[in-house]
Amino acid sequence: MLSRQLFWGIQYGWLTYLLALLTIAVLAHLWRLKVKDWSYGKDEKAGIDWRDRGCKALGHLVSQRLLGEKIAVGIAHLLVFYGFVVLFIGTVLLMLDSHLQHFLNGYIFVSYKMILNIFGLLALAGVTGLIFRRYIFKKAPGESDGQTLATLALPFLVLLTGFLVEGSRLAITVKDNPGWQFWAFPAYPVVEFMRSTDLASLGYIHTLFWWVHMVLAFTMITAIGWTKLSHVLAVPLNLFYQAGQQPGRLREINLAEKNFGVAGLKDFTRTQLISVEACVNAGRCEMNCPAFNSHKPLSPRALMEAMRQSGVLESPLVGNQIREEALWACTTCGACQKKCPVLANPVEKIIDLRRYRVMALGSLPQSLQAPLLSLQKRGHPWSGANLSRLDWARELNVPLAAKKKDFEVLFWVGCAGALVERNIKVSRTIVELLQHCKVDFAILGQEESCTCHMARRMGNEYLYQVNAKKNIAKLQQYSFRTIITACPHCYHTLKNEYSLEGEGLQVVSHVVFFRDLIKRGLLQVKKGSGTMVTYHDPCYYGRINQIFDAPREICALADGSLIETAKSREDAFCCGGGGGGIWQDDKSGDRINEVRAKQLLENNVERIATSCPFCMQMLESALSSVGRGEVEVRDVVELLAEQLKDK
Amino acid sequence: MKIAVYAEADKGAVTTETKELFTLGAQLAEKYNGELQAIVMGPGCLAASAQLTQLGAKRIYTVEHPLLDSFETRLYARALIALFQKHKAPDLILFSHNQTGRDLVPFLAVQLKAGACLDCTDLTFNDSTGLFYGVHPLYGGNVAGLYTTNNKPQLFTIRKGGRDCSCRPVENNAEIIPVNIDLNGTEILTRVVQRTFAPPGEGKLEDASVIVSGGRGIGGPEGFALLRELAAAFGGAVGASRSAVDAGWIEAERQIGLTGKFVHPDLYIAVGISGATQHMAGCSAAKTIIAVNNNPEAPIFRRAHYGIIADYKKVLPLMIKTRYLYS
Amino acid sequence: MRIVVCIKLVPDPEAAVSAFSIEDEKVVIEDYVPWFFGPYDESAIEAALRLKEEYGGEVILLSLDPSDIREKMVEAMATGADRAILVEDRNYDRTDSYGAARALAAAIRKIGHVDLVLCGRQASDTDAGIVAPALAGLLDCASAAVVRNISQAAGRIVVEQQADEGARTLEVILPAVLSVTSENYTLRYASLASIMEAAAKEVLVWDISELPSENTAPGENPYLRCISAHVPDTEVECKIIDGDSAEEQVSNLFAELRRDKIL
Repeated sequence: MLSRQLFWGIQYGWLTYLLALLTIAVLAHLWRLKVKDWSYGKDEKAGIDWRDRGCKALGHLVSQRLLGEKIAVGIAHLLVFYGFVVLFIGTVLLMLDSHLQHFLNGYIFVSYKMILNIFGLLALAGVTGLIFRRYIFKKAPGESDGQTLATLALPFLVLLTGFLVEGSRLAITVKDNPGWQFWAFPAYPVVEFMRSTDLASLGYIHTLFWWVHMVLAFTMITAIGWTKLSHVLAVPLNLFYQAGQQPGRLREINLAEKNFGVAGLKDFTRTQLISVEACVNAGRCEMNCPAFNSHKPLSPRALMEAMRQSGVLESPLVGNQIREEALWACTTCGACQKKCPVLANPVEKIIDLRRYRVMALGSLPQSLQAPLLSLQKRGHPWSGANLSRLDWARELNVPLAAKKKDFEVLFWVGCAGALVERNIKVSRTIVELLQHCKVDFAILGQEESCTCHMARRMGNEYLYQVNAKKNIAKLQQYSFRTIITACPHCYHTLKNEYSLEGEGLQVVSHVVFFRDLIKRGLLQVKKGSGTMVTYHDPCYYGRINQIFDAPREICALADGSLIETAKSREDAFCCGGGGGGIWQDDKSGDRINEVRAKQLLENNVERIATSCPFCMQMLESALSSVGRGEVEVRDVVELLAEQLKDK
Repeated sequence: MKIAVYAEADKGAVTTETKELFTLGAQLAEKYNGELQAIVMGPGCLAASAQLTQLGAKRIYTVEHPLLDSFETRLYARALIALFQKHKAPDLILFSHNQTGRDLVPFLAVQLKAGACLDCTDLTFNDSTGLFYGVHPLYGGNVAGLYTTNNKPQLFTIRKGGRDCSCRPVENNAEIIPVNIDLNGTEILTRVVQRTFAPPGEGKLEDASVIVSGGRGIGGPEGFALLRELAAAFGGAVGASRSAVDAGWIEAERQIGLTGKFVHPDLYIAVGISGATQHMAGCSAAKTIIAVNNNPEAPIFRRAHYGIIADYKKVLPLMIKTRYLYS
Repeated sequence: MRIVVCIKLVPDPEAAVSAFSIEDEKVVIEDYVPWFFGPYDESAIEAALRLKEEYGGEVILLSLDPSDIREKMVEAMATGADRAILVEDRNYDRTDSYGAARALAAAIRKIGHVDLVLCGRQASDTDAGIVAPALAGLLDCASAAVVRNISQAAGRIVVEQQADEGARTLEVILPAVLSVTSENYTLRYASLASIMEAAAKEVLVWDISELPSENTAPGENPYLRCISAHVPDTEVECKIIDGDSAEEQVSNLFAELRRDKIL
């Protein structure tokens, strides 16, 4: 009967147990150092829902779906991942079989061997693919240093020697293993090659391969402590902490305790340090980063790598490992966060570093000081607007919350909507639509203050917290059920950062609100004549809050034809305005808004629809600078208002 | 009633600003039956007095002293105080709101215990109170205030521009009164060590009374040469919008707007500028805005006082020619 | 060098026209308009801080106000001033520049030895630019209005003054009063850390009655009164210049400009 002996043909096989113990000790020591470093990080003392987190992390791990964007790499990694999972289980089973209960025999053994051989081969194919990608096609991001070489070479050699061991053993025991060509087919060429060799030499060869394989295998296991193979532990751990978190939501910090953000690694929280360790240099962030793709001095991948390799806990990162300009090139569009296969979240680290620059050092680009100072002084960033928060609503008869007290819907106008000429038009359109549909609404008028979405992302957490407190208190004074806004940045802050929904309030984006009115028949629209229109997804409606369909439904209805741009929905490219970018006077590289405008123009569109005051300003300015000023940028509700039935 | 003009001369020639003051002074003197006087100090003041006579001054005080060579606030104040000790001070003295006026007048006012109002756009007289009233814009021009004082002499600095300065010479006999005063060299507290003359079109934007500004519509760096010519014709400076600066057509120091400079010229000529809020933030303090743009829909036409819808390349050379023709 | 910087709390210089109205010939400003120290005053603070950094010394903020604005002064110290003095005068009329100059002069005398007094080129509410030269007149010291750069050389202060023809470089004998313009002096950004630090600093409050009484009470013998005010019509109506040709447009434009006395 077919079966397998643990240390077949090997003397001193028990030595492997010693080696195993040593390996475990080395790995444990290396990881103890890592964990010790993490323990210098800040303790968040947050309660954890273990089951929920565990399920979500396991879901990510098993599906490997976050790797899907680059299909070839995704498959290669999938093969390696499942290959090693199966080989690991196989090895454990063999040990159980030898020491506890003998069960691997007959057909069970054949299937066992076959599965192991198939997965071993798949893993070898996967790792070979990854090696080709890095060293032959040179498509892999990051530096190809010794660590990287070990990360790829060790699994490759372990798998290869595994087949050599199997092959040489089979060459010796061909007669005892009928049908081996079938269940050990990957070893077939090895066996064929060795067949003519005499048995004594084969014995030596087998012994040699066996020990080489063992030593390599144990080295590979220790490499989990000293190469990027550490991700096999760090990633599941990071997924546990990060999976299921609301994208784009920033961590609140305690300013009273003089926590002003991050200077050196030790200022990060422990879970943030884990995510730094988890980064595998996959480069998905870089691929999708609007700043990187516009040749700005930022690569989120390089930034994470710099942090991972800095090794020094105390010394400030900016100015040493990280260039200051890199920090300010980020538009906080969230593409890096959403596309990261290990959920490493570079953007929140950038914000933490910005926080320290702004709040502890007062050091930030001159062009960003004006909006922040204006926010500090007058509660809006539009220094130079010379308008009051009610000037836009003149002659519109807009009810004020202070007078009305009790109403259905609060229209949160936002600073841009009230103070910037182009965006005022959208606010006026919304009021007209609300009045047309007889919605019982009010605005805060002078009582409104900036949600400080941008200020927070420019690193001024203080301004954010002060204004958030003020705004939340103001909102609690009035009785209403729904709050709508035409600004994705306000929307995200009101919904996910002020957490108003916890207070029984519904925060609704203007696109969803009006789409629902149409669905309920309260707003009747003529079908448009079908000008060529495309829709630009604002990051904070689209990728970050998953509002993709409502604006498209409105466009399709009101305009008649909607042409999708290649980079849209989850893959939409930022307009460059986020995170303070709209105010930044940055001469490096290309201008993000022009890069985006060119993408949007790819289908010869006549109009560009969007739903964000910042995108609107950025795109209008870009279109005129690329010489396509005749292409209109409209908010989707403006398209809607054009097509009102009884108007 | 005695109305005096504090006259300034540059190398013996009376300045345009002083001529403007004479236009105002003559109007007031005629209307309220007053006597128009002139005070002129420093080198070449005798040479200037002939022109001042032609401008209609009935009495001209000339104060000459080697120490009055260049303007020094305290020294000039001392000289005027000495003058008024010898000759009764007039009821009203008009100064130009220029560098001398804004420094000298408040200093003089507190030492004379006189009343002074700076930067007036207009001046009126009230018969019943016997006082002059100056109109001075407050709160960035959002409010116009009417200012006066009971203390005499009443001093006013008058904002430049807006008045005829091509005064025709009048037949006039003036009494020229040279005034001798004692000044002490140790009194001098500030000394000019260097003067810098800004080349035409390249003056500091912040002080420029005329700015010609270009935007995306200029189309390239060559277009700015035309703008510089126009600025030179007006004795002004060249500015730009962010998009023109970003395009590299002109240096960044020329940028006007939220991320650039805030300017407050008397005349702002916006060429090929769309008029985005970001830009207008920097120039909304301009007293008069002229827009030249070929897009009738451009928002600039809602913020400008005068608009020409045309290609700037055709319009600007004509503006330069016309300007030189009339000045 | 001991530097006193005179600063004035003003309503937001960017407040909308709609925020202003006139009642009984007095200016009424809507409640929502924020008040802070004016932009030119900020430049004066920056100039003082740079002098202190380069040549050492002390920077004292001095303000005159009808109400208790200590909190605002504490905030203003966040950028690096050493101390602050508030002269409180309930009867202070914000449009009386000379009254303000007299009160500030009295306070400066009370401070004792002062080398340099800096003001903004003008307060952004009255836009007058009177206080600095008037202070110099009261203290009878050197005066230079609208300077854009201040440095020290061989024991003397050297300033670059904006002038009609371009610029003048002046040597100034101390003590002196200078008014500072904005172009080279953008006030540094105050970090939260320094704001929290400033909170520990104290603001000295002097009631106007504590100051030498002679000639100090504003409004008593005003050199200047704002007797009425009105909101000018700022609604811009653009005159589009017609013409069949560019020549005609340009000649029509100049005709309009001359008729409206702009040229």
